[in-house]
Amino acid sequence: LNKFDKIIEESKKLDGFLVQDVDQAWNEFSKLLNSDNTDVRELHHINNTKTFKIQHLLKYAVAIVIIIYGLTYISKPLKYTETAYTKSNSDIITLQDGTVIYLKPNSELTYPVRFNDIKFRNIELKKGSAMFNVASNKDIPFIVITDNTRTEVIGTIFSINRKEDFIEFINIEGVIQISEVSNPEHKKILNKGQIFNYYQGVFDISITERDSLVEIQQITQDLVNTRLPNSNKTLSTKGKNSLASNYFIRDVINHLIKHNKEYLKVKKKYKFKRKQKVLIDLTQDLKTILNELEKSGFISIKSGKCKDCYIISPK
Amino acid sequence: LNRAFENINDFQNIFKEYYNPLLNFINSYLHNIENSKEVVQNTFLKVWENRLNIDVNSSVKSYLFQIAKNTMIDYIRKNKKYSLNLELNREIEQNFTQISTDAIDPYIIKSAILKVMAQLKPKNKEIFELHKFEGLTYVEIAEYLNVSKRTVDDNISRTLKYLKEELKDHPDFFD
Repeated sequence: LNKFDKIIEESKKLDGFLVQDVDQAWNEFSKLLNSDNTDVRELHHINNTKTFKIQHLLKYAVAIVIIIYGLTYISKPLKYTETAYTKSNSDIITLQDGTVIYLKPNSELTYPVRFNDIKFRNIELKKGSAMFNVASNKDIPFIVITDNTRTEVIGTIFSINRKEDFIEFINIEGVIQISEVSNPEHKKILNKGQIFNYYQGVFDISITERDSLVEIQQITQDLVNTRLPNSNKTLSTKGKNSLASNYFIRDVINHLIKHNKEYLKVKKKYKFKRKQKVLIDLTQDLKTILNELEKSGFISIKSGKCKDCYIISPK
Repeated sequence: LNRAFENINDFQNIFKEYYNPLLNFINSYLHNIENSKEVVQNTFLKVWENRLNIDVNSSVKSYLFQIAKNTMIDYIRKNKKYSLNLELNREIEQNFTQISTDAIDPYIIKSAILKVMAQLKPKNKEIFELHKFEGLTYVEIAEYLNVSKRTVDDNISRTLKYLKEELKDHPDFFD
């Protein structure tokens, strides 16, 4: 006899073998698993039961944390834009590409914060007025949507001012193209010093001229009330200059270079200290500002080749 | 082994396979079907609750058998009915320590045979019973039932095939 037959022989001796319905037995057992039948559990090692419960709780806790984290991560889209608001003050926004936007009081503007793989630099001036000093980039046009208008540039300085019943576009430098969103065939091209007023639905108003230098002066005046991000406007107690504000030195240098390209050069790439601030009145002329910065120990100044030209270098 | 108890479906299959063999084995000592049911239930409960701590290299059968033995000893010790008879307790405990895992094998086979038989046609069932339980040869069965020897042979082979399928988790039975 082989092993199997031997076992069968032994099994023959098992008289009165009871066959229970295993499905029913399993159902009863399943109920027991889900109940708190302490009488039955008396036989179990308490430690093992505790370990079992803790392990289960931990499993659920980990699962819940993972689910919540996953849902939060999935539901949280990547932030591509920011919105800036101004009330009584102005604000200056410097974009990642170097573009500087002067947001006038009571304005609202949405701007991009991620510049990787973008095809357009899309700005929306939702409310109020702003001036744009756009960093040149031929591959990525800079587009400003203002109500029903679309202003497209590559790199220039221009201003958009929302008036009571029209929008005023002033081009200070370079060329800008304005078109109507609802009718893209309506286009206006503005050269340096040209102004165009857009009345809702009327697009054939002629372009007027204005001395761009006058405009620059006006914008400089606008900056009198401008507060750079994180700056604290401080009134001088000695009566020397009531328009001085605390600015990050990095922003001051960038601002001066942007607006004085023909007169100001940096000897070598200016390495600013991120958190260093300077109290200065930016409405003063360039030479005065530079002298103050030199006195404060931030920069060194040398005369350039042309008259009123300067070369600055970090100290 | 560990994996066999981790998944509720795998555990359910093991429960259904071993429930009747363990029940009858325990009952052969306790002689009380309700008490035996309770011990078997507690055996599986212990296995389930300890499944994450199981770290043994033995087979499912050996592990279950060991837990069943311990659970029965616990039960006897805690049950007043048995604790009054100390002599019987000692006898059962001593017997238990000497019992090897193979003691459960006839119960497993008996359970499997009964399960297979329940699915067989009456004629096939009769042929298999005459051969395996009454000890008749193929020729004797053929004469007795007035069928050919080949028919008996085929029937028994087919039934054994079913039985082997039922006992596929016990390849050691067919060594």
